[in-house]
Amino acid sequence: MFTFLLITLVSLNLNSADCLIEKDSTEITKTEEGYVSTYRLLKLKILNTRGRDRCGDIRVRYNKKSQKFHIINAYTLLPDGKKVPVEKDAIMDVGSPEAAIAPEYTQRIIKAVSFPALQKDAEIVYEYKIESKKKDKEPLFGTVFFKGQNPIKKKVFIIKVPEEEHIYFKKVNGGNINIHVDTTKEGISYVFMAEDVERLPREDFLPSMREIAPFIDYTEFKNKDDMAAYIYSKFKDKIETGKEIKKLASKLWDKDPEKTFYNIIKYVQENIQNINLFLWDAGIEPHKASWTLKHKYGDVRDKTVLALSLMKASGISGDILLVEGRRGSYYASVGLSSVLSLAKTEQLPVLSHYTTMIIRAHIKDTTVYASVMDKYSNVRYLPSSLQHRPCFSFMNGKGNYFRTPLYPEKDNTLKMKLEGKLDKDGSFKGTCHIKAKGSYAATLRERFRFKKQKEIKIMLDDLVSAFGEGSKMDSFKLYNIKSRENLPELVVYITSPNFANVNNTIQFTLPSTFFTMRYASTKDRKLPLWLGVPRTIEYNANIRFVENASPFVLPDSVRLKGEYNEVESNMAFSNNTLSFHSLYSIHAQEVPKEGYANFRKIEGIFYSRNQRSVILNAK
Amino acid sequence: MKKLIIIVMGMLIAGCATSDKALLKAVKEKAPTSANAYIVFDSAFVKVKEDGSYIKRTHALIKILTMKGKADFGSPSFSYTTKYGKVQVKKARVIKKDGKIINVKKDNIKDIKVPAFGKFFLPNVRMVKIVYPTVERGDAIEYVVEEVITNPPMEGEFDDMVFFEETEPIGTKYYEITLPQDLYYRVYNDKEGAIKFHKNGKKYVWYANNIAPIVREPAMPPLEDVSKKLLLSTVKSWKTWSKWYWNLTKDKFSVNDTMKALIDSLLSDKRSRIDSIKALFYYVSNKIRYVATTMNGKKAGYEPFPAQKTFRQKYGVCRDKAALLVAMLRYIGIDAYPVLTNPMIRVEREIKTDQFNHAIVAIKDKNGYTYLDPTAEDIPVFLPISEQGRGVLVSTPWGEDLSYIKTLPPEDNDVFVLMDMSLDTLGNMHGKMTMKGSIIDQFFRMMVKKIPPEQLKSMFASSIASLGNEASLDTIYYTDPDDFTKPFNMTMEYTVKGFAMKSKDKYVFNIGGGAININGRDPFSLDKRHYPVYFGVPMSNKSSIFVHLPRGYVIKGGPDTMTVDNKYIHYSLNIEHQKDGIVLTSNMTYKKSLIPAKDYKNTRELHNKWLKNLKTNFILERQKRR
Repeated sequence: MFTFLLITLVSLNLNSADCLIEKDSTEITKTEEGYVSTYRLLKLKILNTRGRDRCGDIRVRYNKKSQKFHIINAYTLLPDGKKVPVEKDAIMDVGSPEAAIAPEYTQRIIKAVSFPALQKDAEIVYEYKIESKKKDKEPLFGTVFFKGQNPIKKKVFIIKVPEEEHIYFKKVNGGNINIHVDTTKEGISYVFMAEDVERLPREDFLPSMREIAPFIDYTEFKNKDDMAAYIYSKFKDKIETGKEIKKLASKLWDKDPEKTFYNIIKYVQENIQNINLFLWDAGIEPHKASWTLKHKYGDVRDKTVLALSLMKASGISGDILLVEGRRGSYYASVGLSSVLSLAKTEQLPVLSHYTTMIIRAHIKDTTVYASVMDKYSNVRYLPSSLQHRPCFSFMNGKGNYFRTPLYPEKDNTLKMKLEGKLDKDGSFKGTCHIKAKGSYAATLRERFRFKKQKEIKIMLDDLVSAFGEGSKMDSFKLYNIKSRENLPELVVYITSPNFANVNNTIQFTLPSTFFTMRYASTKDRKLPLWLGVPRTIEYNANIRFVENASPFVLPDSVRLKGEYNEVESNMAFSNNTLSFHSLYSIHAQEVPKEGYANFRKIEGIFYSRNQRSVILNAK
Repeated sequence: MKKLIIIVMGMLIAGCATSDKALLKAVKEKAPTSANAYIVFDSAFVKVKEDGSYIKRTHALIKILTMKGKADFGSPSFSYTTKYGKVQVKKARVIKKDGKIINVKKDNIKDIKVPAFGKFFLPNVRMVKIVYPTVERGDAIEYVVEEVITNPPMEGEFDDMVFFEETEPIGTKYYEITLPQDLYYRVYNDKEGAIKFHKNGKKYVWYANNIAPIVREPAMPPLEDVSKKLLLSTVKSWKTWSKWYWNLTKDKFSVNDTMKALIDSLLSDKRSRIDSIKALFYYVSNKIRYVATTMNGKKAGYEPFPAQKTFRQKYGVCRDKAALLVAMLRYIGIDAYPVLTNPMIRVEREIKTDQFNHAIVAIKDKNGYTYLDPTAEDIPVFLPISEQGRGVLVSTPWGEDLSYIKTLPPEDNDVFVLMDMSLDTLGNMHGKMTMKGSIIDQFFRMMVKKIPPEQLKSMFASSIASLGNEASLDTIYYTDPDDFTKPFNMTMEYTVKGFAMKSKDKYVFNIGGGAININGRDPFSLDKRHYPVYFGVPMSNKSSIFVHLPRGYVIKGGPDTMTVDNKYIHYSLNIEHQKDGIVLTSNMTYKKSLIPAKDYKNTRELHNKWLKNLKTNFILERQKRR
């Protein structure tokens, strides 16, 4: 009985898991000569058909030119103890998505192994080693997560370096990770180990892994200046102001430096094609600015270097910032899902934290930020995914940690205004006017910018169907969709023959706001809710009635204020006109689980159709 | 004269005869507005030999009009299977708007492995990608690419499917083929005769000018079914294809002792033929996981792995799973055959072109063929609903003709929803909803197996979120998804605070429903349509809702009992007032797989009439005391 209880206490909760990671052991070894190898042993137990389908094919990235990949063991262990080896044609070198996007940037491929005879309780055993073919002069750094979407029985991560080298490491977000450092004849071993790790719940709108999962950061950089000097050494010669750069800079120059900055950023955003790789997918060193200008394409490193070069040639001071974007890269050394992202602790200089770059400029005593990869936001507006992110400046070899700005609610707004008249048959004719700012401006441009007129018409016909069956978009106007300096607007002229049901009463429901979304559908959460950026949504409606009417049922006025959001909603009827006003604000980037219930209640009021429904007496 | 025009056009477009001056002139000509790119011309010249090997030379000139156009067309790629041949770039240039011509360097032309996608790992499929440098808006890219096929899938034969419409405008689309064999061909979806044709001996030419882009509509059929296309083939009969595939697969069906032992154990308690078939079908569909690895054999992509290998590995792609099931069925004496099909697009019967992308199984008996798709996991029947009506070619030693799987009537593709709702005196609602029917049985059974429970709960919580001020999914439960002997059903219990609006002594609420969406879009949202509304299959959605009212309240208004009907839809709503509540019984039936564009307007009017009625709120008033 006692033994049974003990087993129950230490056993992992396998509910909702696909597989159990019995053992995940990785060893990175750096030799005195500078050769680096990664050894890994992975044992996974399949718990159900989801696990069979999701975990049955293991993919590992490597570079065939610079690395050798040895499979030491690859087999399935059946529940009866029988081994079924992976067949030769199930070990495959296939392309990586990033190489398909940009083969001129990276030749990385994927070693894919499909495991045979998988069934419930079968175990995958995979053991491999990746060795560098030549000496690797680059420093070691990385992040190892000790929690993932499946429970872990045992996870071990070891780094072995020669005695004269030193690894700095840090444990972040807690977790029961045992650490010990051994000095042997061969060098120093850093061992990190965790056992019986519960899985992360699968919830919508989660913060990044670095905020919610325990992990180990490790690096060979001594301090932030050491890392800054390293990156700067790779970048400094690429920022140049040669003839072609100067020529273009003079074309983009304006007596107003703000306008010059706008012209430069817009030029780089719109004329240099994005190569959509993560920051370090193609290595650390970018192309020279003149190369990018000539080729008219570039990844984030190349485009940022070009933008800074043009700024330099125009006399605008600024620098490049490395930013921890919310989404990560494939750069992590280990982990079944090796995605990196935000760290709460910023003290350890780990280059792989950073997944993108932005430009910072100092113009007329103000500091402005811009992303060269963005195509839809206003030029000086940082996309919401890049606001309030940890970032790192490295210019001139001086390192500094800080955060990108978080723009206030007033800079991120959607205003929707509905105006028109309702005739005696319940037919509505009027306009819906949408003004967008901040991330909503980007959303509006993303929807419409590259659409053909006929496509826009179909999209808007689809949109106005929210005004009732048979609704028709008569015409529309779009403003500042191409311009990235002014704010975009959309005006839709609508006829909706069945907007209201009319018999003894007049009944209708105003449509919900367009281009907005709700976050809190589940009753409760175990982890914080990620919202992006603070924002305000304002919805006003004015509907004139042709025939006389009087209120029968109108929604009550509501005003609710919480720590993370607030709402007010009023509907009134006078002088045969229905007026509706609703204002919803989100004050935070993130809601902790303790604040979720109240956040959800307030959000529910804003999106509730009852707040927008009305019944009037027809006279 | 017509012949002369065509010859001149062919010469102009052909890489050899297209002067830089002519290209520049074409680049400088005004492109259509409201486009991201303009395909000035896209031409193909195919030369086929007796043995079926061929060279297809594609020459295209595309003007880049926006940054999206550059992203879409600035790095074209051409894939090929190493077992059949290769792709070579003969010319790749940027023609700048100022007339300067820049040749793409060899370094910018890469021959790489195709990336892994989903469950497909295909190490013997490669792609050649051209990365054009220096491209700016107003410039054009030009390429001449040759596909050299030395080992065609079917020796001595050639077939092709050519689309004459794109999502961007096309100046000229040109297709020319020269071959020694007889050629069968047909143009589809070109009522207005935009595609012109000319034949000169063994040379055939099709071309069209000024082709407007396709504009997608919600719930339209697949683009391949509606766009202008040319099908051509040297194969005279479907029987040839049928026999060809049989010969490719017939040696894969042997079973070994381990397989025999497993089959015997699976069938040990099965007394009837159908139970035995089901047992083997469920085994292959559920125990053999779907994954595509190295393409096997000389006829890569067509040829399955031997059944013994698939059985040993316990994985395979459609053709491997089909071959395994055929092998197991044949072992127990069932007359089974592999079948080529396409579950996504219509397979055109007239021209015997390879339009297949999927393999399933057919069982022959005195009544004809019964079809089974062993890639359909977690469904109780042999075929997923989406495969009804699809073209199938059974592969047999004697050869079969193309046929089509039977489409079931709407009542056999159904959803039935049973709801029990209780409204309290605060306007809150407690509901219980049970969903069943064949559509639920297939999709929801699969969902509960594939989606982790917490994500499933979150999905259903989102689906009820708009019902009131605060809608909460309290619980969700379902019958055993692994028990194929019983119908599957799922039940949700939920609470909606503020479901009804309260005003003095009145409550107002709406049951909702009545709308339909296909892939998240309303098929009736457009005023006019160019393309049909496409449902895939006829289907019906029936519901029965009991609403318990708070004590002392009576209904003072609400939707009316109503029926609307035409050739395509039948909707009915019946409202019955009972002592303590109301019962709403509804039926929304889509009688056909699609509604043609010409009948859309009338059907939409009926649909809207129905929706308008359903939109009417129920009004409850406190009963006055006598």
